[in-house]
Amino acid sequence: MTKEQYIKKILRKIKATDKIKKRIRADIETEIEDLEDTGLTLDEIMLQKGDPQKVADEFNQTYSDTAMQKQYGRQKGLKTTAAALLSLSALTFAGDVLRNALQGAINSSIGIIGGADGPTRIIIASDGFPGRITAIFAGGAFLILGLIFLAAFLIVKRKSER
Amino acid sequence: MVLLSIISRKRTYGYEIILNLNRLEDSVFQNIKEGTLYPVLYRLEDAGLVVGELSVSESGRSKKYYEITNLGISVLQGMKDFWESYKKCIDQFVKEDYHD
Repeated sequence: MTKEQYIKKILRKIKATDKIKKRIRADIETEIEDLEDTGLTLDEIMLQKGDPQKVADEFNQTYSDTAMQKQYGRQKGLKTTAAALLSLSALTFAGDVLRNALQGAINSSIGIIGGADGPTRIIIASDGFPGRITAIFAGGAFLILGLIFLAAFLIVKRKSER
Repeated sequence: MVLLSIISRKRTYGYEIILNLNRLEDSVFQNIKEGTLYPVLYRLEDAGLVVGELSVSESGRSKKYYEITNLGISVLQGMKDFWESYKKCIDQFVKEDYHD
């Protein structure tokens, strides 16, 4: 494991805002570099400092129930919800495109049958249309909601960085 | 108060503070870890008592140093005065020859 990987692992496990993590990173980097200056190897330093989870747990314990950790919880909640809604939106649109493509393939084969029987082709082809509108509305709703949550996350994050 | 005292002596960095805290024999701060120390340093920094900044060390590496501010110096003096009077008061009660 490199120094950067070790620090990243610690930071990933710390429940803190990005602003606090930036400060922690600077201090941990200083600490590791200072130990390197004493002649210790990175492996020895990592052994001395301990497992990233253990290091992170100490920070989490100190920050437990603080306003900063509550702020982190809010940020994480908004970020996760935004990501889930935007993924749902993308899936809905992708699903619709796929369904449309399949429908097109089916319709073209129906079209051959419909060539012999005109009215049948028209009835089957129009059947998929209301489902498509629902998919577009659902995808659009997920997209708008996702963007609202993303904007809320960015606002909260920006406020915390001031 | 302990951290402010250490930082008031000279510009220092997190790990050096940990070493200072562990240096004294029977120190109550022995085994203090970065997970406890750094959040306290950030609180001092947010309160304007210390200032932390990245600068290049003698070895040519970039290190985050902490330095006490003027506000920090006056707050530390106030804390020291309070500690002296507090200690004096408590000592009067815990002395073996104390009688009420």
